[in-house]
Amino acid sequence: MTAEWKDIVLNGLWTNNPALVQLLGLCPLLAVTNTFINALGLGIATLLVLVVSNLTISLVKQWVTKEIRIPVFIMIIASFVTIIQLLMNAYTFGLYVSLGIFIPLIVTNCAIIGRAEAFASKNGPVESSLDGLMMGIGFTAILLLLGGAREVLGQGTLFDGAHLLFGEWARGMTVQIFEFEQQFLLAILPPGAFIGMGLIIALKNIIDAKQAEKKVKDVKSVERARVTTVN
Amino acid sequence: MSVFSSIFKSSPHGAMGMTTNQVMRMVCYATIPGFITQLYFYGWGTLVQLVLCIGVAVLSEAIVLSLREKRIRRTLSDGSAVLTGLLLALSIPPLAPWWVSVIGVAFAIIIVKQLYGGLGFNLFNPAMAGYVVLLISFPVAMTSWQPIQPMLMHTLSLADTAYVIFTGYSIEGYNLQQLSMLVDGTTMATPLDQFKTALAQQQTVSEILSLPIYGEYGGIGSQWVNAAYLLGGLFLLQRGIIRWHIPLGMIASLFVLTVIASATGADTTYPPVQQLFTGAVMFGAFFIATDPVSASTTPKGRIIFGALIGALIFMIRQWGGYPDGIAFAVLLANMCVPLIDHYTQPKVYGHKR
Amino acid sequence: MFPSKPIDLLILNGVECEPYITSDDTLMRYFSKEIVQGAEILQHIVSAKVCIIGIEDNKPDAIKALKAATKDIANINVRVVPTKYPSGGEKQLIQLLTGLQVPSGGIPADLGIVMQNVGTAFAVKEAIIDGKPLTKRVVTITGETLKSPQNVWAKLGTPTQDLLDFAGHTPEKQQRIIMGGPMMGFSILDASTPVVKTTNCILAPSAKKLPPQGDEQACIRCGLCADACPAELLPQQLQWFAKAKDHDKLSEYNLFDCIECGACAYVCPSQIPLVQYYRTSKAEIREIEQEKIKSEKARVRFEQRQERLEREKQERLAKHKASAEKRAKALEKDTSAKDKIAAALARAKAKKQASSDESNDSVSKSNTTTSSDSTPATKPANAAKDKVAEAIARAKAKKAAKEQQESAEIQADKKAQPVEAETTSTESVSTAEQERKAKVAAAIARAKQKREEAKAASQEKTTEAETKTNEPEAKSSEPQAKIEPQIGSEPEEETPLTAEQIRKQKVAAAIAKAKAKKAKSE
Repeated sequence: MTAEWKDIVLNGLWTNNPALVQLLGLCPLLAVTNTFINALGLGIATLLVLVVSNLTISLVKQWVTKEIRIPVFIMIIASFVTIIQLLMNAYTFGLYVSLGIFIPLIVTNCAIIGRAEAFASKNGPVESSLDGLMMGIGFTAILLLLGGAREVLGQGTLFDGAHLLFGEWARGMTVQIFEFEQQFLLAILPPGAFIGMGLIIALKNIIDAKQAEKKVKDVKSVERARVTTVN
Repeated sequence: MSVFSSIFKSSPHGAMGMTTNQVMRMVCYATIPGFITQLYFYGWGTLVQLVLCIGVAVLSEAIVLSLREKRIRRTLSDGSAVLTGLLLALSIPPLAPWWVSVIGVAFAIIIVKQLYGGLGFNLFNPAMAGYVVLLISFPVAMTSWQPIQPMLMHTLSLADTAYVIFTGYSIEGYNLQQLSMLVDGTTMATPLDQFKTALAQQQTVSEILSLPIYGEYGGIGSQWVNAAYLLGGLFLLQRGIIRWHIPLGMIASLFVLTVIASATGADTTYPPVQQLFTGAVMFGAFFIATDPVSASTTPKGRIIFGALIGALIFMIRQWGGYPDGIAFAVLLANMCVPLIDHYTQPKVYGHKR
Repeated sequence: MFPSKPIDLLILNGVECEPYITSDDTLMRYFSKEIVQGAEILQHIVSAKVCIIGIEDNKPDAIKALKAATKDIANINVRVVPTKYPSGGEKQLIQLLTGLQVPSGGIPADLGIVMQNVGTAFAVKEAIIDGKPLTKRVVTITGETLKSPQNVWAKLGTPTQDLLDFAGHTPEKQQRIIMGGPMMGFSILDASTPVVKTTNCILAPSAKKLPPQGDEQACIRCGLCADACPAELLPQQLQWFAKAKDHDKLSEYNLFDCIECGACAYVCPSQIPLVQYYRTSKAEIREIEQEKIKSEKARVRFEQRQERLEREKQERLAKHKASAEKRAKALEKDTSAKDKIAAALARAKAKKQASSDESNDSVSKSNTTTSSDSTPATKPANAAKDKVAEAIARAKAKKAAKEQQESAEIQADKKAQPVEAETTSTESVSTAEQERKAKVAAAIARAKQKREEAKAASQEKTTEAETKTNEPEAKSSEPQAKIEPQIGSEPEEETPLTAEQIRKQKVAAAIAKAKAKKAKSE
């Protein structure tokens, strides 16, 4: 059981990360990651939707026939997205305005329907919730990384607009890392998101390759050790 | 029985002698007339940018090559990095801040060229991709070309120029905007910029062209710069480094479209001859669009490729938001290259078509 | 492959294959008459109306000599072509002289053209007029490392070293010796390599004059190769696909129209050994095609083998069947045996029926019908049917008696068990086991007969005897038998109180009939 859970956690965070490996949900990923806080807002919203939709779908899966499962999944997801949207409208209005259309668009985020289809419709509620949580965290982490990098490169700040999410007290959270005469617009514009995303994926691949290399080396050294003992 | 040399290669047993390195060097040499004209009209800035850009280009190429575990010296010696740096240095405003050049060149070499696999594998013209990144990222810095030197209130020495580029202020403390002031204390945009602004102010073409920044055949400075690049381009043509298809296709389509627009449309078109001798048309036609790696490679395809660039330049100048569109046009045409190449394959011997 | 058209043009190729080579030139200058004679013979053979001799414009002596030799011959013309590699190629010369292109994959004869080398014409003359076989040829020995480069008559088989020594060869460091020209010839590693019929040149160049290709650099798609290509291919695209081993694309870009002239690699500024890439790719593609043919053959072979095995299996089965039938016929002659088989079959069916869930229904239904309603299965003999019915009835009667006597249930179970076992074993027998079945059936029948006799004496004793006789049979049956006795005993329990022989007979017959019906419908 624990091994299976460990697998789910690892899948969501790294080996099968929705943003880095499955490349799902790129539209919001690329569109709203111009600042860290925007990324965080959308990340949390997506995370919540993922968890509850996965849970719900795994609970109702035995009553959903194969032919109509996709509409049913979408309806479930859409309901939760609507709830989230209303909540954000009520409590974080600034962020709600700044994320705009991308909150309702969470419905069409392939990462969510993808997990519903690939995982929640086949597994129990506990595993599904965990999977949703981990996938959500993995997705949010990439959003934050990209959002942070783009914000720093583009306008030299970090946590700009934190008050939109956390309330007025967070206004002071904004960190001015360095000041530009001119903004580096490319980082803020969508092409910058694509390039940044590409670089993050490349980074992940480098890390994976290094690890694979290490594994091979370990095996080799073990072999060598055995040879010496035989001799 | 004697055994001969172990050099055992497939035929042919010899080569013509012109190498890629020589091709690149020749292109560099061909920019000299244009470069000197730019120096004359726009001051020392171009020289400082040239040194800066080539230095950064070679450095970033070396860094990526070492990361890719390739032979650094040998690959660097092909001169393509130097050429990319050079072309970018000639395209950006002479007094642009140093970090603009560094970002542009590093982007061109590292991302556009090396990440795609190095020389021969880049889909896009590295210099122009770098230029476009700068243009959309730092529109202000990238469009602030100074008026030509003879019209300026302050002219800068080489040291002063370097000081401006690296600090933003001249030794005497003038900033870029002050330095751009004309003798009469006013400022003026580039000819193409000015044209768009003036058109928006309901001025007629002839009124606009009577402004002091316009010469007889184009911008008062850029007409000579263009002529100098045309000269360099003809040298390349004569040496067989480039072929006529792309430059001719590009210039002809730009010219023809402008003629048509001038003859039929309202009084809003930049006149045909001036069109060719303003901005970076000749530089683009002979030095940018002819980059063989990212251009079409079939004879027919080259003409189409050139014509496409010309048409795009016309459209961007006529209707676009940016005053000049060489870089955008080249990049857009680069994207069409595989398609063009596919449909313009020459008729192979013995095949009926 | 016979030409689709009659030959109307003979072309003599007097264009030297490659730079450096002058063997054809020498031949034409000194043996123009012989060449023209050979041309006439060839013309006669292929019945060509016209003969053209093509010569490059850098060979004035040869042109003069041949023009003089053909002065009086109306239909042999000398044509001068510009000196440009690779005009000596067959397809290229045809295009130069006639403006026609040899279709891809075709031969010149498709256009009504035959091309021969001037050397061939000379050899034809030697062979036909002088009766001399081809034992020597003109070979150009040239290169900067030779003291006296020249053309020589070399006997076929002469070692290269001899020719080099003859011309005063002083090898330089890393000397390359090329057999053939600089563009398409091949380096030879061993100086004892002999002159063969196609050796037109031995080239010993200096590294200075003919520098070996440098290291390969990246292709910059400059297109010089495409300009140089005589077949108008796109070498820069081809090398790209060749490196990627994209064979479909290579075919699409007509790799096989490449004549490997080497012009592209010669002009390449990045010094890419293009021809080598093309040769490798061509070899790969050919190999893959061979593999395809091979695997296709293997597939056909495999299918045929499968077919044959299947056929043999069918034949074997048919044979078995035939022999089994023969045996069955032999048995049929013995009526008692036949009866026994029939009895066994019927009994087996009856038991199967008894074991099925529907048995209750069929029993009640069959009660209304008469026992004389015989079914195909029970047809063979009425006697057998009776016997079966008797047997079953007997078993039931026994059980009923037992219950009446309040005998132990264990005994009933024991009884039922072997009976069921028997059923399953009969069910599983195939036609091939008819013999065995018959035996088993006979044994059962025997046991039953005994049982009947014993019953008359004392019922308790019979039960014991029965269990004994049946037990060995149970061993041969499947173990699953144990599960079913209760079901099997159900119909038996229905009738214990009214244990009248006749009625039971009817019931049993009905069961058998129902069984047979079921078998039929199946």
